[in-house]
Parts: sequence; C-alpha cells; structure tokens
Amino acid sequence: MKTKTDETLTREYLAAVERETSTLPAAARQELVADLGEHIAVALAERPGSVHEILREMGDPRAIAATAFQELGGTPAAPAPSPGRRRSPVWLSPALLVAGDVLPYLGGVVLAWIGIAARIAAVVIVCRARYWTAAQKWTGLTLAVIVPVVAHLIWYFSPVPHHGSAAEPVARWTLVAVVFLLTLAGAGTLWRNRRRA
Amino acid sequence: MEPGKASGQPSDRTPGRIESQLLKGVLEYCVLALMRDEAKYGVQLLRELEETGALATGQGTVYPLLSRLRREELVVTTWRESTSGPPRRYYELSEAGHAALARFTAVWPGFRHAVDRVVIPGKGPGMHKEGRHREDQDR
Repeated sequence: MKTKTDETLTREYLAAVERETSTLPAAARQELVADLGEHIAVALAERPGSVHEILREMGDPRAIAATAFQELGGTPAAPAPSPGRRRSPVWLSPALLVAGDVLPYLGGVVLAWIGIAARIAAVVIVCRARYWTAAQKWTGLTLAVIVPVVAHLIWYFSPVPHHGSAAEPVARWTLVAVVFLLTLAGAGTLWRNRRRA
Repeated sequence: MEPGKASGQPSDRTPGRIESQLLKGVLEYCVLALMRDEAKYGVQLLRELEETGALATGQGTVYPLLSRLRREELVVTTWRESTSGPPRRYYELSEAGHAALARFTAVWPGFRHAVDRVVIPGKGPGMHKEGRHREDQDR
C-alpha cells in the first residue's frame, strides 16, 4: 500500500475518473482522461516524487465528473437528457376554453362531447403550463371552468320547478349568456396575463 | 495545495457553495484572460489560476472547461517539446477567444459595480437613491 508506484496511483486515479464519467459521450470522456493524464505526467516531470500532492491538487474525480457533465453534456442520473418538454402554444388553452363552451350549443351529441374534451384538455394544459402563476391559473379556471360547470350542474339537477315553465327559455338563455361571458373573461384573463415562458 | 495560502481561508471551509456558484460564470473568462498575452500549457495555466485564488475546486475541474473552449474554438492548442519530461500542449486564444474575452472585460466592471451597490452595506438602495436624487437636481 505504501509502495504504490506513481504509475499505479495515476492509473487508479484516471480509472476513477473514467468510472464516474461513464455516461459522458465517449469522445468527451476519452479527451478528458487524456488531458488529465497529460497534466499528471507533466506535473510529475516538474515535481518528481510528489504524485500524492499532484493527485490531491487535481481534486475529487466526482467533482471533475460533475463539471464535465455540465460542460460537455450528459448527466449522471439521466443518460439521455430530454431537450425539454414540448410546450403547447399559449393561445391554445384560452381557445379550447371558449370552444368548449360554444361547441355544445351548435347542436349534436358529438360536438357536445368534443366541447367537454376541449375543456378537460384546456384544464390539463393550463395546470401544466409555465405561462401563468398558480393564482392566475386559479382565477382563469374558476371563471372559465369551475363556475360554468357548477352552474350547469345546478341547472340540470336542481329541484327548482323551472323546467317546462314559461320562464324557462329566458332563464336558460340568461344562464347561457352569463356562462359564455364568464368563459370569455377566464380565457381573456389567461391571455392577458400570459408570460413568456 | 497550500490550502491556507492559496485560498486565504481556514482549511475547515472547504470550497464553499458561494464560491463555486460565482465561479461558474467567470472561471471561463479568468482562464481565457490568463492566456491573453502568451500561450500556456495546462499545468502552468492551472498553477497560475490557483495562485490567483480564483479556483475554489480541484484543478482537474478546469479540464472539462478547457475541453469545451477547444470545441468552441475559443482556444487553439499546439504541442511543444520540452527540455524536461513529455511534450506540453499549449493553449492560445483564437480570434473568437480574444473577442469573447473583450466582451466579458467590457461587461464586467458595470456588473461588479451593480452587485457592489446592492450587496455592500452603505452602498445600498438608500445611498443609491440619494445619488440619483442629486443627479436629478443637477439636470
């Protein structure tokens, strides 16, 4: 142990660097190990007998590996760094919200279901997007989704005896108009407060 | 490594988070600056860097950086024979390297002053405002 040669110590050190950089692109890794090897050889020629000191100066192989990942690509945990999540354009969710409100009134079960799907998609997109703060998301979605949905549910399930009454069309179209305006307000809020993400 | 001498700090303070965070932005330009006037080989470059106290981590961490500088063609390297030991790889600024260093050198004083003004007590926002005020009156 105490009589390890310079060569052995150097080889062990470089092997440790190689181990720590196993997910680095091969060319970058070879270059790094070669650079470090050259450095040690030159330093040894200038200061014979001080291999321990030289290796200590070089530092922890893990620190070198960490820097290498930053500088030369690759990551220790995820070998294939994804180029970032694909983002939907900022106008998409406001548009979906408005479409989700309007489509069911254009008639047909299919359009009604597409409308519901559009609303759900909009909610998911807004929740995951980075264009808005949490508070802005809540405001937008409360106006455009939560209140309208609750209003619809109340309309369909309330025991209030308005169904079939003379006042029904008036009440119904008032509700439709109010919900539409709320949806527009919610979508508009999101659009106005969008931030460059 | 001459810990006390090189870093000028108690040895129980291993390379701090702050130092390494700060270094991330400027180390590259410190390295470029060291070869502004003449080509230098790795060991020489790192020794000088260590002496400036600008290196908070091991010397080995500079090699990935040098490797990137080569790839980006900010530096070019040439091999030179030596009277003692193996040949050395000399690093030298390219045109692009000189330009990058010049840009950094132009930006740095303003940046440093801005940080000083925010961070150093007595140079804080209060003083800043006063200065502004006076300027406004002058106009």
